[in-house]
Amino acid sequence: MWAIFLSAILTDNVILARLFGADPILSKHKMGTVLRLSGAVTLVMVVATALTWPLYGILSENGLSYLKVLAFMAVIVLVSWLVAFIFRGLGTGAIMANSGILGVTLLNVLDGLSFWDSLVRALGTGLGFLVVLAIFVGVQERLETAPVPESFKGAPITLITAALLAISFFGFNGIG
Amino acid sequence: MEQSKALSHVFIKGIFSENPVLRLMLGVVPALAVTVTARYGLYMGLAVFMVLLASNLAVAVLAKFVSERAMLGSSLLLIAGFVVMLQMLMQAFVPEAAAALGVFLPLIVVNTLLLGRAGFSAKSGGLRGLVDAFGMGLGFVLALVLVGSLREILGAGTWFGFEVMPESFQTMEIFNMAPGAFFALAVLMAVANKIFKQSKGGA
Repeated sequence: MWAIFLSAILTDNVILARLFGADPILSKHKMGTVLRLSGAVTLVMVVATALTWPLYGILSENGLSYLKVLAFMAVIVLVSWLVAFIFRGLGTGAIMANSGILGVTLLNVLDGLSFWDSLVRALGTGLGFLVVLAIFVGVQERLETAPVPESFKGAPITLITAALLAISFFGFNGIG
Repeated sequence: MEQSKALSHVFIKGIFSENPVLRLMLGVVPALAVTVTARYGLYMGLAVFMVLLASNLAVAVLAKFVSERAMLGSSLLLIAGFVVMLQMLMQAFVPEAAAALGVFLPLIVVNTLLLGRAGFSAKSGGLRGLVDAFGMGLGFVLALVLVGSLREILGAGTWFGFEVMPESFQTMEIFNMAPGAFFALAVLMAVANKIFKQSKGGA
């Protein structure tokens, strides 16, 4: 279980290795926003996993597992709405349209993880999201003053940084 | 005449100057994730294209009945419905493509391109929305095939499965993995920036 937790944060990092939910790194955020956004996303990931895991059991028992995407999305939309009440000021869009949430709930049932393992992976995935977003707050600050070629300004240089960061995260391979 | 000119403009800009992936940064996630080869990029591009056409129309209709606050959630559910249909169709007729896209096929639901363009369609009405969807969809296919081509040629020395590089070419494994995805997209974005910023300056 510890291995699942660590690998969800580091080696299988949601943004750098699995490439879900990479959109938020492209725009500039303040540290406070990042903390609230990833807090909200993590909370939705865990709560939605707790709901979708048993839901998938019910669906597949009745031979309806092909509906899982629709059903999971419905759960995520509802949970995101509730969570957006707690984290005021965050748009619901930034939460419910984060592909990491649907991604992790689907992967948990597709990989056949147990209920508790799924919850742990959801938590780890959320924390991995936080780690990368927090790193990128610093990266974006440095990029502002860096002499970047004109056509690389903005998203391209951010993606280059993400590529280098992803390579450095390969260093965590073998930890879990 | 004015109307048709505007429509063709809406169409063309989606492919080039406002290419969703390379210029607007919409739908970046699938552009990174599945583009290990040009063929996978094409599969994903076409899948999103089809959902985009359907959802743009449906969301434009939905906007007449649903309040603005509930719009995002209900669009997501509507798109999820289309994606389920597409997934079943693909599993039935092109199982190879469905398997290749894996979990990223259902993840089309939360593709920012669909949501972004559904908003445009809801604002500007059915016909313009549809034309916009065509242009954006083609632009998306183009961008994904480009990213996929770059990664496949450098990472495997092939293009759509054909050997294109000389024997002596040393494949760069990194392009088959996540960092290569970021890198390839970054370079293509920079090229697009260069082209379209210059043409704007010249005109």
